[in-house]
Amino acid sequence: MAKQITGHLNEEQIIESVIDKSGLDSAVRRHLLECSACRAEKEALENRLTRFGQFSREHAPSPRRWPRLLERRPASTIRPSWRIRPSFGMGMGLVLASFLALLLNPHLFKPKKDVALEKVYQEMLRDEQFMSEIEKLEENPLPRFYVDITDFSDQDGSDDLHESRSPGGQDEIIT
Amino acid sequence: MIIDALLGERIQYTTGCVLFVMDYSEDAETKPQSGVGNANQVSVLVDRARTGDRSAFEELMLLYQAEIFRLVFFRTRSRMDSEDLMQDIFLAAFRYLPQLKDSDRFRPWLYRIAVNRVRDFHRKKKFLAFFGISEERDESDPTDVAPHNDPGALDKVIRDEFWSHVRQLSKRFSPMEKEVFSLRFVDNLNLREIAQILKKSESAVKTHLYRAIKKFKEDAALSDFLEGEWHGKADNRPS
Repeated sequence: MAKQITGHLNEEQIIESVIDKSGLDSAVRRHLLECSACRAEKEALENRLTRFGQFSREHAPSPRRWPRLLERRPASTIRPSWRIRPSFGMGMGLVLASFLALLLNPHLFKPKKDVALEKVYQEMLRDEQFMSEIEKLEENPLPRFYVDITDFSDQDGSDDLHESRSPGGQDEIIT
Repeated sequence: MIIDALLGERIQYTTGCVLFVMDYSEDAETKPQSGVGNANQVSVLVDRARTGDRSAFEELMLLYQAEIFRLVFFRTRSRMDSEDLMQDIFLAAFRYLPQLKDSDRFRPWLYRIAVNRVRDFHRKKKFLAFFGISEERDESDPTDVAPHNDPGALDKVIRDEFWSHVRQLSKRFSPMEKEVFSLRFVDNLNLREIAQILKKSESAVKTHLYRAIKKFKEDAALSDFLEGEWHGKADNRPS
């Protein structure tokens, strides 16, 4: 048995009746038929919503450009996309040319063998020279002038490092 | 989209052994008339277009392009983006039309493509904005763009006021409420169609619609505006 509605429909019922009439409870439907106040409220809401939609549609802009299908060609005449954009085509051409060049001459981007070997030899030579200079320095770390002084004291045969000689004096020890 | 950008204005798609080129008509004089035909007429056109009838698809485009543009424009607020998206939508529709099983469902199917394309557009825009490379083509709001018929000063004032109310209202809507409300009352789709487009159950659509209508009903300023303006009684509107 359908329930009775006392008083008027509430807001929820009014909105539900606007959303979906078919899904309404039979009591609500019957009340809407009988109650002019509720029916008026429902219709007012429906009208406002209809006006809203209509106003939106009427004041909507229209596009400046309309799409349309232009032409139809058989598949044999389909042009690849690179022919449409020259820059894209040129880029693709460059890539293709580089690839072909690499394919035909794999050593194109490699350094030549002879040149590389020569460089290695020169490097080795420089290394050897450098090592020999280091060895010389290890043997005679002092400059020539100081080496001569050291030789002189060695001839004297004295081990006393604290002794010094006057320049030009002969066997005159300064203490 | 990259390929589309490379190809510029002209966009090409191959379907089987036939190439179709889609181009724009810029001539205002040759602007096609649009309007939604009856269901039988649409079904016949869809059936013909599915078999590769190009003229049938062009007729379908004429029928739906204005409302598809409107749908996209209300969601992007940019005429240029809307035009680009509209092109994408119709090309996608043409491409995938043979996959549509029921020709009676062409309209919700087309709307679904449109809604998905708009979502992709916003997703891409967000992604680009995240990296700071978003191309801003916003034309602010519909009030800045001339409608079909250039209105007089009073009409322009009324229109500006209307869109100002709409902006206020849409701020209160959740994204789904906005979508459902717009599809129901601006695009005039029924609950079943909206559910199909948004891939939601009808009860979920009803719930979102209920909340949206409640917010609409609470907006007294918009209600007053609609009550007053509609009958051309702009002067009688409450201040």
